[in-house]
Amino acid sequence: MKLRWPNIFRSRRPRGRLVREYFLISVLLVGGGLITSGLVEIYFRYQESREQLALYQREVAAGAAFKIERFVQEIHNTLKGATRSREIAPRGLTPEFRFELEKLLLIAPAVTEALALDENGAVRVQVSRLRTALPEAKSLSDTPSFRQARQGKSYFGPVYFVRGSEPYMTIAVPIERFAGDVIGVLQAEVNLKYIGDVVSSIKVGEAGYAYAVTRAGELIAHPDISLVLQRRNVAQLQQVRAAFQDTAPHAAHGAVVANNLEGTRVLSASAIIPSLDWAVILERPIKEAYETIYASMIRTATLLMIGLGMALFASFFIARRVIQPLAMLRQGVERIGSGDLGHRLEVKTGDEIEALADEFNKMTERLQESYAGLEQKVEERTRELTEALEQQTATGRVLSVIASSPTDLQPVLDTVIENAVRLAGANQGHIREFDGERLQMVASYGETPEQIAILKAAAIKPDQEEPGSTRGLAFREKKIVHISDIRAQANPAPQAISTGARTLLSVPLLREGTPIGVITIWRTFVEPFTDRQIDLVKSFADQAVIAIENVRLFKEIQDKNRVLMETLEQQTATSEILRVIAGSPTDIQPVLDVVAESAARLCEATDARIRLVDGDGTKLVASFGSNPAPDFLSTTVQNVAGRTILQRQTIHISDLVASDEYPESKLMLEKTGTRAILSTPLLREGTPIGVIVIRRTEARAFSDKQIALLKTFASQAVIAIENVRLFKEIQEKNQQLETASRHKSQFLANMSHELRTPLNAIIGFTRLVLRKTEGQIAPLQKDNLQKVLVSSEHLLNLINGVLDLSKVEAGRMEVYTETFKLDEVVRIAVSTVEPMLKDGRVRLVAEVAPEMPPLRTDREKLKQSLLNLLSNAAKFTEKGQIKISAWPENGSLKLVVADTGIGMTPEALKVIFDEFRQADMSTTRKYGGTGLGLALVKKFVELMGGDIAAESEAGKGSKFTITMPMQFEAKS
Amino acid sequence: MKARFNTRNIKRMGFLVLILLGCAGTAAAQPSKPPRIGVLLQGGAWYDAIDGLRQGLKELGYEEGKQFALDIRDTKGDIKAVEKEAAALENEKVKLIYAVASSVVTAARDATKEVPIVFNVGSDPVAGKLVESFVKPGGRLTGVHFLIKDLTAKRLEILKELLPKLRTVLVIYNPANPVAKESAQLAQAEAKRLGLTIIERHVASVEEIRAALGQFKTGVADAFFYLPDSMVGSQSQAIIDIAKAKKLATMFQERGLVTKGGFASYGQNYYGLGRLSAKYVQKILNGASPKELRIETADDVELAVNLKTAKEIGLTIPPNVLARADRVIK
Repeated sequence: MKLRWPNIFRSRRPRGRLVREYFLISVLLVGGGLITSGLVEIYFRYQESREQLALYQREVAAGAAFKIERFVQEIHNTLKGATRSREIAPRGLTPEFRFELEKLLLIAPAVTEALALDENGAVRVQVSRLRTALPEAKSLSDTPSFRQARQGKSYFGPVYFVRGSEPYMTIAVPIERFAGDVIGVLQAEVNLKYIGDVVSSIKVGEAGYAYAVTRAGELIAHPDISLVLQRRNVAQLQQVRAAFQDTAPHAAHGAVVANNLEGTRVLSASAIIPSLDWAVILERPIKEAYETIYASMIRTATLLMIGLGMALFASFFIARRVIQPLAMLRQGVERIGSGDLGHRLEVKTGDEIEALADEFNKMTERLQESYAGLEQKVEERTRELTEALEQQTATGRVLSVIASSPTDLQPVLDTVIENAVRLAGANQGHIREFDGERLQMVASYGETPEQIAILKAAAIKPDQEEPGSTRGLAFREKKIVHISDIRAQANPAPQAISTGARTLLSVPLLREGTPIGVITIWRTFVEPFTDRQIDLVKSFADQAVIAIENVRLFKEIQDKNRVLMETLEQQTATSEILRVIAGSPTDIQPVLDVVAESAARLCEATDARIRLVDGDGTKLVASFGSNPAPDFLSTTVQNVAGRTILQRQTIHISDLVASDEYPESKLMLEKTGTRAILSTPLLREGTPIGVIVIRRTEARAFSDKQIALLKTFASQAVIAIENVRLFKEIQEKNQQLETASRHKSQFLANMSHELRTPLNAIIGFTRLVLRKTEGQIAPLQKDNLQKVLVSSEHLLNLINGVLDLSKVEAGRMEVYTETFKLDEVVRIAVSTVEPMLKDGRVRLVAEVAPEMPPLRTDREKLKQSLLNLLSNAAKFTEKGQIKISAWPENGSLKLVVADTGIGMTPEALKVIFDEFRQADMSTTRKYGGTGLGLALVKKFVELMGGDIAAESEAGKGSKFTITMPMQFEAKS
Repeated sequence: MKARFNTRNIKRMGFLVLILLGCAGTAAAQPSKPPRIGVLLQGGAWYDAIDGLRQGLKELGYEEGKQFALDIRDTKGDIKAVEKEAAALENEKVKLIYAVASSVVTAARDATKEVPIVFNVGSDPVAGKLVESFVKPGGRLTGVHFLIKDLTAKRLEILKELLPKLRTVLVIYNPANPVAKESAQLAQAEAKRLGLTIIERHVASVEEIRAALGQFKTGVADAFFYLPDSMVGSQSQAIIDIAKAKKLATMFQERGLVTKGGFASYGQNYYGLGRLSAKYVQKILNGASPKELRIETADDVELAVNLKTAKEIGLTIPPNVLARADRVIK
C-alpha cells in the first residue's frame, strides 16, 4: 500500500517564485535605466521639435506680416507722395491736382478711387477707375477718415466689402503745404485683394494656413474667404488673444496650441503688424505639426522596447540558471511527497542545495520506517469500523422493517433473527414468543424444515423445568444463558442435539421487565460468543420487543377505533330513525323503511324485513335487500318469523343449513343462499305486533352487539307504530266532537225557533188579556197574569240569546257593515239602560271622544254588545257609577264599560265569557239573567274582528274593554 | 548565421514585391483618360481666356492631356449653337463646362441640367439670375465676374478723353441680349452727359453685323464703341478691319483686340480672367461643389491704346490721357 500524504503538500507549489524575484530585480535594474533614458530623450526631442516648429511658423507669419505691412505702407507712401506735388505748396488744392490722382491710379493698381478734400471736407478732385461721375458728396468733414487726416495723421480705415465680396479699405493722408499746415485730405479706396492673396499663398506643411485679423477680432483675410465675408469674429480664440498681448513691432510669439474656428487643435504662431494693429496668425493642425515628433518618439519607444525585451530575456535566462537545481530538488521532494518513499534526491551541485537534498534523503528514510507500524494500526481500525457499520446497517434494516410494517410482526422477527444469527457469527437461531401458556416458535433462521418441525413441537411451558433447556431458563430467570458446549453438559436438551448445536446463546425478550419471549442462537461448533456478540443479540432482542409492542399497540388502537366507529354509526342510525318518526307522525311506512335499512346495514346483513301481525299470519310492511319475500306468512313454528312471534323472543340462527328446526324457512331461503338469521319480535306492552328479521348469505353469527342493536330497532319500530296509531285515534275523536258540536248548534237554532212561535203567542195574548181586562179582573188574577208575562218575556230573551249564540256557533251569523256614528249608538244604549238603574244611587256617564270618526262595522251587533255590557253593569251595581267611554287608539276603537259594582273573584273572571255562566251561581239567583249576555258580546266582538277583555276585583267593580277595528273588513 | 540569411532573403523578396506592386500601379494608372473640360466661347478675343485657363491650371500643377483635357466648342457668334453644344458636352459627360460671356453662360445654363459651369461674365451674375449671391452661388454655376457692362460709362468717358473731338459713336448689338441692351442704355445716359450722339445698329446675326458695318458710311460716326454682346464680340477682328478701312476709331473691352489692331480698350484682360478661373476648375475637378465657391470680381482695369492704329486713322491723343494708359502699342 502506498502512503498518501495530505494534499497540502502537493498543492502548495510556489511555481517560479524565485525566478520571478530574480527576474524582477534584473528587469528593474536594466529596464528602469533604459526607460528613464528613453523618456528623457523623448521629452527633450519633443521640446526641441516643438520649438523648431514654432520658430518656423513664427518666421513665416512674420514674413507675411511684413509683406502685408509693406503693401499697405507702399500705398500709404504713394498717397503721401501724391500730396507732395510741387504744385501744392504754391497753389494749394487746385483741379490740376487731378493729374496727380490719375497718376496715383496708374502707380497703385490697388487704389480704385481717390478723392482730394479741402480743409473743410468738401470734395475738390476725384478720380475713379470704374465710375465716370462720383456721387456728389456734399461734405465728408464728419467722416473719421477726414477728421483723423485733417489732424495730420494718416488714417487706415476698417475693412469693408464691395459687392459683398471684395475687401476694401479707406486710407486717408493729410495734404500739407508744409509740415503741420494741413490744407486738405487725400482719401483713397484700396482693394485689399492683395492681402488675401498673400495670406492664401502661405502654406505650412500640408494643411497649415495663415490669416490676418484686427485687434478687435475681425478677419481681414482668410484662405476661406467665406469666413471673412461672414464677419466671423475670432477675438475669443486663444491664439488671437495671445497675438495681441505684446505690441512690440513684428513681435513673434511663442507657439500656442489652441482650437481653431472649426474646433481642431492647432499649433499657431503669430506676427503683429504694428502700424495697422493687425496680426497675421499661422495655424497648423497639431496632428500634422507633430507628425515628425511623434514619429521620432515612436522610433525611440521601439528601441526602448527592444532594449527592454533583451533585458527581460537576459534576466529570465540568468534566473533559470539559478533555479534549475532548485527545480530538481522540488521534483524529487514531490515524488517523495506523493508516496514514493524509496526515491532519493540526487543533486550534485556541491553547494547548500546539495546539503539540503541530503537532509531530505535522511528524513525520507525515517519516514519510511515509521510508516510500516502506522499501516497496521489503520488496518485494525478499519476492520472495527466495518463491523460497527455492519451492525448499524443491520439495526437500521430492522428499524426500517419495523417502520414499514407496523401491523405485521413476522417480517420484523424474520429480519431480527436473520441479522442476529448472521452478525453474531452463529449458524442457526429462532425466536419464541410466550402466548400465555407456551413458548411458541415464531421465527427462525438457518434451520431445515425438519429441524423447524422438531423445534415447533418443542413448545414448552416456561415454568416447566426441562433438563438442559436454555430458553426456559432464560425466560424464567430473565437473564442471558450462554453455554459454550452443550454436549459437554450433563444432560443436553434433545432438540438442541438434533439441531447439531454446540455453543448456544439464549437471550430473553423483556417488556418492562416482563419476559415475553426468547431469542436463541447457536453454533454447530464450539466457540463461545464474544461479549460484543452477546450485546448485539441483546440489542436485537430489544428491537424485537419494540416491534412486538408496536404491533400490539397498533392493534389495540385499531380495535378501539372500530368500536368507536360502530357506536357512532348506531347512534347516527337511531337518531335518523327518531328524526323520521318525528317527521312523519301519521305515516308509518318511512319509519319502517329506515328501520329496515339501518338494521341491515349496521348489523352487516344482506337483507332485512319487517312484518306486522295480520290475523293468524304476518304481512310484509318494509323490506331492505333484493331477495324476494312472501307478502303474507302464516304464524307457525315452522318458520323463523312465526316462531319469534309465538315465543315473543329473539331467535338467532348462525347457520340455517346446519339447523333443522325451521323447515319452512329453510325451504324458502335455500334459493337466496341465506345462512345466518336474526329475528326479533315487535312487542307492544308484551303483545307481539310484528317481527323484524335480518339475514346473511354467509354462515357467520351475529354479534351480541348486533343482536342488541336489532332489539333497539324493534323497539323504535314499535314506538313509531304506536305513535301513528295514537295520532289517528285522536284525529278520529276530534272529528266526532266537531260533528256533535255542530249538531248541538243546529238543534238549538231549530229548537229556539220552534219555541219562539208559541212563546210569542203567549206573550201577545197575555198582554191583550191584561189590556182588555184592565179593572175587570181581581188583583190576584192580574198579578198572576203579570207573572206569566214577565216569565214569558224572560224566556223569550233566553231563547233569543240561545238563538243568537247558536247562530254564531253554527257559523250562520254574519256581519252587516254600515257607516254610523258611535255616539248615536251610545246614546240609544244609555237611554235603554237608564230605566234599569238603581234610582239615585247609580249614575250613568257616557264619554265619547270628540275626534271619534264615523265607524264602519255592524251597527246592531255593536249596539247589542254595548247594551249587554251596560245592562250587566246596571244589574250588578248597587251604587256609584257606570261609565262608558270610547276613543280611537292606534286606528282601533277602544270602548270601555266600567262600574263600581260587586266585581268578581279571579276564578270567576276566567269563565265569565262562557255560555250559561255567571260569576257565581248565587248571583244568578240574586240578580237574574240568562248568563248568555257576555258570551254573546264576546262572540259579536270577535265577529267584528275585535277582542274583549275583562278586569275586576271583588267588591270594587268591573271593567270591560273592547278593542275592535273602526273599519270592518270581511275576512276573505 | 542562418537567421541572417533568412532576413536577407526576406528583404530581397520584399523588394521584388514592391517592384511588382509598382508595375501594377503604373499599369493600372495608364488607361484612365484625363477628365474633360468643355469650353464654350464665341471666338474672338475669348481665346485669350482659354490660354489664361491653361496657364492657370499649369500653375496649379495640372498638365494638359494628363490631368485634364479641353474640349473647345467655338460657336462663332451663333447663340443658338451654344445651347446645342452645351447639351452635347453634358451628354458626353464632361466634368464641367467653362463658358465665357454672360449670354453664352445663360444659354449653356439653360441647355444643361447637371453639369457644373465655371463662367467669366462681364455683367452682374446675380442680376442676370445666374447665381444667388457672390458669396454663395447656390447652384452649379460659379466663376469670375469682371467688369464690362459696369464699365460702359467709364469706357465711353475715356474714349471721349482720348478723342476730345468725338461727337458721334456707333454701337452695334443684339437687343435680344439683355446685357447688351442694358449696356446700350448706360452708354446713352453717359453720352448725354458727355454731349455725344450714339448711333445704334440692331442686329440678330453675325451676317447682319457684317452688313451693318459694311453699309456704314465713312464720316457719319467718329468711333465704334463696343457694347458687351458676345455675338458682336465674335466678330471683333472683322470690326477692327472694317473700322480701320472706314477711318473709325474703335473702343473695345479687352486689350488683346488693341494688339490686333483696335484703337483702344478699357477693361480687364481675358487672359487674366482665364487664369483666375483655373482655381474654380481645379476645385470642381477635385469634387468641390460650385454651390459654395465664392464668385470673385476682377477689377484690375487696364487702359490700352494702339498708337499705330491712331496714326493710321489719323488721330492724336492728348498726352496726359496717354500717360494714364497701362499699355501703349506703337
